[in-house]
Amino acid sequence: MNLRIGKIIRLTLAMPAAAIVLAALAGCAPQAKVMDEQAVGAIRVLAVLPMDCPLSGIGPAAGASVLRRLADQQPNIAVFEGPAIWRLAGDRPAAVSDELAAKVAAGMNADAAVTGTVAYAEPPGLKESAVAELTVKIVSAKTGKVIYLCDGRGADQKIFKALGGAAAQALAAFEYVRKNPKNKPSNPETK
Amino acid sequence: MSTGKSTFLAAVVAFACGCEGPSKVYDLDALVSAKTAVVMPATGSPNAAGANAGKAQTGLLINALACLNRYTVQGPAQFARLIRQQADDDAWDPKVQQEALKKLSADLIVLAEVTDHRPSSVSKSSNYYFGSKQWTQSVFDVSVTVRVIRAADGKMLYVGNGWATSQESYSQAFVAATDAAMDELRSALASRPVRKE
Repeated sequence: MNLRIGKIIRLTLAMPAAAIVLAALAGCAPQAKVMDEQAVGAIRVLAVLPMDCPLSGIGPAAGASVLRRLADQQPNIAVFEGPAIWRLAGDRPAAVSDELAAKVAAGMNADAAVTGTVAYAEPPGLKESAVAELTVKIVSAKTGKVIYLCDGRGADQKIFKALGGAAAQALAAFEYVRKNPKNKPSNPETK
Repeated sequence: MSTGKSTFLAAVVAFACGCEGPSKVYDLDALVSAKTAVVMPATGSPNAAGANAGKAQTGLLINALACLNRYTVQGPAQFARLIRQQADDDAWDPKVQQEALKKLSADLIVLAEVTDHRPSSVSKSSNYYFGSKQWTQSVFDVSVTVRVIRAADGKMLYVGNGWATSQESYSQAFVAATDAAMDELRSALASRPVRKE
């Protein structure tokens, strides 16, 4: 009898703890929005543009991390680097609007363009490891609308590794949707 | 934790982080058939100390490519002049880029970013017979990312990441990091010697 009461007490205590852990895990998961699953699944040619970075010129490196992730993980998509001539105008490109991203993608005969923003939660140099936060946005060349939006976070002593981790997380839902075209991704969760 | 479990955990973490090798050749045939490369201005590092690091990196990259003895290497100046003649401010137009590169007969565009350019300090100590000595030593960290893309359409042919630490200066770390970023490309191209026509 005592043993049973002990079990009930332990279970009663364990359940809220498990709920807290699950809530924490859900909060940590990248928030992805797949606006048009069909358009995401139909992408065959993708142009990757540099990410916008309000504090530094690291945006192109973030774009490169996304480019590499897509080239490695999506063999069915032909991935191309966006025009590099903006580099002649200065060290940092201006933010690319959705309209311009769609126009560039159409000019490159691509189905969509990847753009987005990169920021640092912990700027490199202040601490041992840099924490990069990346928002990846995919804009359809045909409609000019955003069809995919997801955040990713990566941490490493080397910035390009932190960016690689952030890119992997930001594209996790994209990879899931491409792999399971009919099912909606459950983790990372979509809205 | 058992060795099996820790190996599995390490594999899962590596997969989750998306940790690939530092460098990768995507299309060796395209790299071998190319003859001319244009190096674009490299972007600097996010640190306060690294704002102008991109300029140094551009120069090092031109040298590193010229040392391959395979490509006719051009800096960004001539390309910039051509772009200025064609369009004033349409820096995002892929057609403007393609036209200018066609005029230069350029097959490749080379892009680079300096991602780390920062000093850090290392604590050191020595034990002597009559006591010990402790001091801090400054070291210089540099990481660079290099991409070679096909001029015609922007396809990524090579990506290289290199990093280095020097106890002497940034310049030493820069040279070593650029060397490391180009290493895989150098090895891949060495297996396909240049045909003399």
